[in-house]
Amino acid sequence: MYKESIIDCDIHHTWGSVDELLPYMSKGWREYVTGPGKAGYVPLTGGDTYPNPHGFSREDTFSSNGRPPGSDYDTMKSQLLDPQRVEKGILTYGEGLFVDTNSNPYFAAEIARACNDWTEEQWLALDERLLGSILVSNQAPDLAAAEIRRLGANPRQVQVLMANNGLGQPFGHPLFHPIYEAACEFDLPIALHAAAAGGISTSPAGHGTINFYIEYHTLVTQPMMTHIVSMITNGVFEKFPTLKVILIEGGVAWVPSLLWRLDTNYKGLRREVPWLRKLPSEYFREHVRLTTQPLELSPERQDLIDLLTFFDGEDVLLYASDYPHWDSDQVSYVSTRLPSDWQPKIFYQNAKEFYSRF
Amino acid sequence: MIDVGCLEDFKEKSIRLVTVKSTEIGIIRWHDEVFAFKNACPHQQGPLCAGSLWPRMRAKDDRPGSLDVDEQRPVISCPWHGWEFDIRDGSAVWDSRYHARSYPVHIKDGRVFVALHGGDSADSENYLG
Repeated sequence: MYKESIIDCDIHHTWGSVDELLPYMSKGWREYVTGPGKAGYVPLTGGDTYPNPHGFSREDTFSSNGRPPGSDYDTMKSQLLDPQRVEKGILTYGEGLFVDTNSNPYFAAEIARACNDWTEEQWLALDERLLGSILVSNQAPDLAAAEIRRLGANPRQVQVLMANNGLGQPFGHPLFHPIYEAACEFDLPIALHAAAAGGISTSPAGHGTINFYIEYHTLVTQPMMTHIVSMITNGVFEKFPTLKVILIEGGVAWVPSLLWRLDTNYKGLRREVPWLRKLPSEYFREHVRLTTQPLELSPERQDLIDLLTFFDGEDVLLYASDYPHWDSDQVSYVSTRLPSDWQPKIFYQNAKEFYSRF
Repeated sequence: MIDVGCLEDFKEKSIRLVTVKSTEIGIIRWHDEVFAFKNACPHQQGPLCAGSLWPRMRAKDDRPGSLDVDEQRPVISCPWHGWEFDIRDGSAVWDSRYHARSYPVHIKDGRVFVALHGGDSADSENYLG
C-alpha cells in the first residue's frame, strides 16, 4: 500500500447550516435569503433531483456533535487529513458546488462570492494543508470572471471550480471564454466537477430524463465528455494555450474510446474546425487531467491498467478521495488497483506538477 | 513516364480518372499545375479521386470560430470519410506523416506524363485508423 504523503484533489467541505454562510453575503442578499421568515430561507441551489437511497455521504462522517458530513474540521482531520497523510487537500464544496443550478444568476454569483470568503476565513485559516477552489457561477460568465480576478492573487486558491451548466451550452462555447481568460491571467486550472441534477442545470444524461440515482451516477461521465469535446473542438486550447483543465469525479475508463472516436472524426471533419492544429487527443494529453475517483472496478485488475495505458494514465491521473461522499476511494484501495510504480505520480507528483501554486 | 493525355483535356480545378497499366489514377489540374494520385484512399481504400477538390479550409488569423480558404494549398477529399490530402505532396492535412499515393507528373509539349514508379508516399495498402 502507498504510505507516503499524498495530495487529495477533491475534499468536499460544507457548512453545518446556511446560517454559517449568511454573514458573508451582503446585507441585501441576506435580507433576500431570510425574507420568507417562517416559511424558511430561500434555497441556495436547485436541489438534487435524484436522491441517493443511502444518503450522499458515508455514514461514519457525521461528526460526534451532530454536524453534517464535511462540515466539521476536527472530524475531517481525524478521518482524512491525518490518517491519509494528506500534505495538500483541495476543497471543493458540498452544496455550494451546485451554485450553477440556481435560476437567478445574480444570486448565484453572490452565493459563490460568499462561499469563497467563507472558505478562506473558516477553512483555509484552520490548516495550511487545505487549499481553496475559486467557486464561480457560470450563469453569468462576466461575473464569474470578476470573481476569479477578485481572488486569483491568493496563493491558497489553486483552481477555478465549476460543476453544473447554468447556460445550457457545453463549456467550449464562446459564452464561457471570459472565465478561461480570467483563469489564465492567474495560471489557474479550470476544475470541472461532476454535475448534479437539479434546478436549471441541463440534465446530466443525454437524450432523456433518467429515473434513478443509479442511472445518474453511472452516466455522470457524459457531461465530462460533452464539455471536453466541446472545449477541444471550439479551439479553447488554441485560444488559451496555457489553460489547464481537471475533470473531477467523472471516472476515467471512458477516455480512450472517446479520444479514438474524436481523433477519427477529426481526420474526416477537420474542414469544420480548421483552427485545430493537431489531433484532439494531443490537446487532451497536453491540457487535461483527471482525478482517480470513482475508479472503475474492472472485473480483472489488469483490464483497467491496460485501458489507462492508452492515454498515459500514469501521468494524467491525480488522486482524489471525494471525502466524505459515499463513493469515496481510500488510498489503500487505489493502491491495490494501480501499479506500484505509478503510485508516486498518481498520489502526489502529478498534482504537484499540474497545480502551478504547489 | 507514361503519356496520359493532352493538358487541355484536363479541365482546371477538376479530377479525371485514367487507367495506366491497370492502375486507376486521378489526374488533378489546379490552375496550371497537374498532379496524379492513385484512386485509393490510404484509410479504407475508398475511391479517393471520386472525391472533392477544394482550396484548404483554415482558420482566419488562426482564430477559433473563423474560416478562410487557402487557394495555394488545395486538397483532395475522399468521398467516403472526408480525409483530406494535400494535392502537392499527398500528405494528410491532419498529420503530414500519412500520405495518399501520388505519382510524379511531367508536362511536355502540351502532353501530361505520369511516372508509375518513384512516388513519394507510403504504401496505399497501409490502413490508417
